[in-house]
Amino acid sequence: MEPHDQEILDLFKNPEGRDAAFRKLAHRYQKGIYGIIRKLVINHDDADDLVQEAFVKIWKGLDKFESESGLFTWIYRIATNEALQFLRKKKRWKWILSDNDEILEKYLKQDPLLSADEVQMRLQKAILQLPDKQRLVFHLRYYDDLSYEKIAKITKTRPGSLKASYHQAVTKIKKCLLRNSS
Amino acid sequence: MKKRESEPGLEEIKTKAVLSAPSGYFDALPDRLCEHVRKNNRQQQVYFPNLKLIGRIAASLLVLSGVVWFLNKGQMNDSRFVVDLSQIRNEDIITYLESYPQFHVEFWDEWEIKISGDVRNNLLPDFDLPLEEIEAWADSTDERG
Repeated sequence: MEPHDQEILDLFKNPEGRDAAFRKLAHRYQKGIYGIIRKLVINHDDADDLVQEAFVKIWKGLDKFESESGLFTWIYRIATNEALQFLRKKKRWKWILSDNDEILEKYLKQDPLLSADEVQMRLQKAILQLPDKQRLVFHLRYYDDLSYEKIAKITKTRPGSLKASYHQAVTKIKKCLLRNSS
Repeated sequence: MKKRESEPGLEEIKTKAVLSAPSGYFDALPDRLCEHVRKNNRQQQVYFPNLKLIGRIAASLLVLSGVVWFLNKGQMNDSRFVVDLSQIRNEDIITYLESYPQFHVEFWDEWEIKISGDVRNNLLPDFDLPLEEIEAWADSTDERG
């Protein structure tokens, strides 16, 4: 475990240091957590709600946290689970609303904070065609540059399966890009 | 922004975070998170023990009502029978008892019907009578009955 994480955990064990420890933890992980959640749910407001829910769960579980899995892995697992659960719930209403991928694509097009050229936009649309879990693996590997071992700990999947899933995702994206460009 | 060369097929696309947060979002986020967690804890402290207490009371009441129902089940049937019985007038009961033969049936080796003396004398024909008279008696009891 990284020294900063151990410091945060030690501080959290002391009842008087809890608020300070949590503030440190929020500073350290907020960008990473927001980033991965935002990439999955696209919409900023949804991501903001999910970040808050994830941090509440982190606060509640930090007491019982056992350092063997690593704080980073544990926090990312909570955040990604929140996002995947949110998407799953949204998909249940898919037949009433419209296709979930279409909704995410609409968010993407309308996002005032989006800074993408045409190629980037096409890539984002292609990524949205992937199943949620595969999308998560792709983002963690391609954008966050995490090792398969780390992703395996976050998603509780074997590294071999992740490699296969990632390569499958890349193939699908490539096909989608070729189809759209022709 | 960095270029990736090791991944298959997407080498030419640079990895770039295209979705960003509004400006100042991360400056305010730790304070908002602390406030959110504090609020959540306060709500939990108020509602959680109350919910636990309400749950325990509801469970106890349910068990108690089950026990009371089980203990009173026989008594309730008896009392319903008594209520039904009390609605019949005494005169009707007497008429009923007087109009039917009192008999007792034993089901063991062979059927045996014991009929009290008065009823036998009033209702049953003498079996030494000729057949025509026994039939006439049977017809008359059918008409009565």
